[in-house]
Amino acid sequence: MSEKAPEDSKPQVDAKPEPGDQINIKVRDAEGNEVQFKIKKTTQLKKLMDAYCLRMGTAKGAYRFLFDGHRINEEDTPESLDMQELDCVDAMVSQLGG
Amino acid sequence: MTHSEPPSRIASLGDASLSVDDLALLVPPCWMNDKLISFWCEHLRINVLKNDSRVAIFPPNLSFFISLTDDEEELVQIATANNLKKSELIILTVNDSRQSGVTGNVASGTHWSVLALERSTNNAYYIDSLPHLPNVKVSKVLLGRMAKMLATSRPTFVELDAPRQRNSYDCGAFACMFAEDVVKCFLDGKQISSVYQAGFQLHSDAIDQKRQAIGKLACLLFNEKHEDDRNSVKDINRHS
Repeated sequence: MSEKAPEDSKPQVDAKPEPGDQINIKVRDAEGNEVQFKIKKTTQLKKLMDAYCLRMGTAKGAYRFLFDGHRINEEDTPESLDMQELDCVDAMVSQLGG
Repeated sequence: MTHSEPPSRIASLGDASLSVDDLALLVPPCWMNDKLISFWCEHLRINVLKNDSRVAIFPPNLSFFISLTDDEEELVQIATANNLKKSELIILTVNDSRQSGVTGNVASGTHWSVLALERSTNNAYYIDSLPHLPNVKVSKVLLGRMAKMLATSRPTFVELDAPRQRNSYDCGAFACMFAEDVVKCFLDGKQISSVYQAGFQLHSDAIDQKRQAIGKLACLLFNEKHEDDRNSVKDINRHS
């Protein structure tokens, strides 16, 4: 992936985040393409999920995100899910059937 | 391309949440989406099974993910995270979607079915409401994945003679019913092979009722949430 991953668009704050306060998370689609995001450990993952949808040119909510086989909720944070540096989140498209 | 805001969430249950747009799909002849199926899976896990660890229910996204990855380490990790080794029954909700080159807000897939893996017999029961069994292929892929996850021999694929849909839109409601019937069969201490024994009669409005049950459950949760909100407002007023 040659392009730089979009940064978390949080407002700038005066105090620099403590080292170890941020974490790199990879989002991977079904074909194995990866996009990396750097976010604060306490940032709601909704931001990451919305940013991914934006980057993929889809409406927000178009993908479902899984971590270790569990669906990620909007309020979850890297901290609450005990994510480690460069952990990978899987993005799945929505499914329909009749 | 527009980047519309996602529709607001109106009901949450466990790992699943529904918006108004999802609920609109409960009206025939709409096709049900993965969020409705996930919601029903969570209902079965929490309200029917009361978090009984002997049964694992895979929502559509998890089944889909497993069908796509052949990485043994990853599969074992998911098995551990979901406590699969101890489970006696694993129910997978299955869709035939294949993700490739998806752009825009396009949902993929055309059909829902259920795969129920009974650990005691190592039989995997394929339960499908369409007679030409469109999800056999992906279900057989899932069997291989399950064998890796559980470090067991490949389960035996068994097609169940399931009730069939008579239209082109009810498979989601059928899949919800199949998952529920398998759960109840297990809780009754019966073998899964007996779930739709000869002579089983599908009640004429059973499927419509299944759609309605999902909607009613969502409304119930919606009302409960708002009741809580109202109470917390009252609490604040009382303390101020």
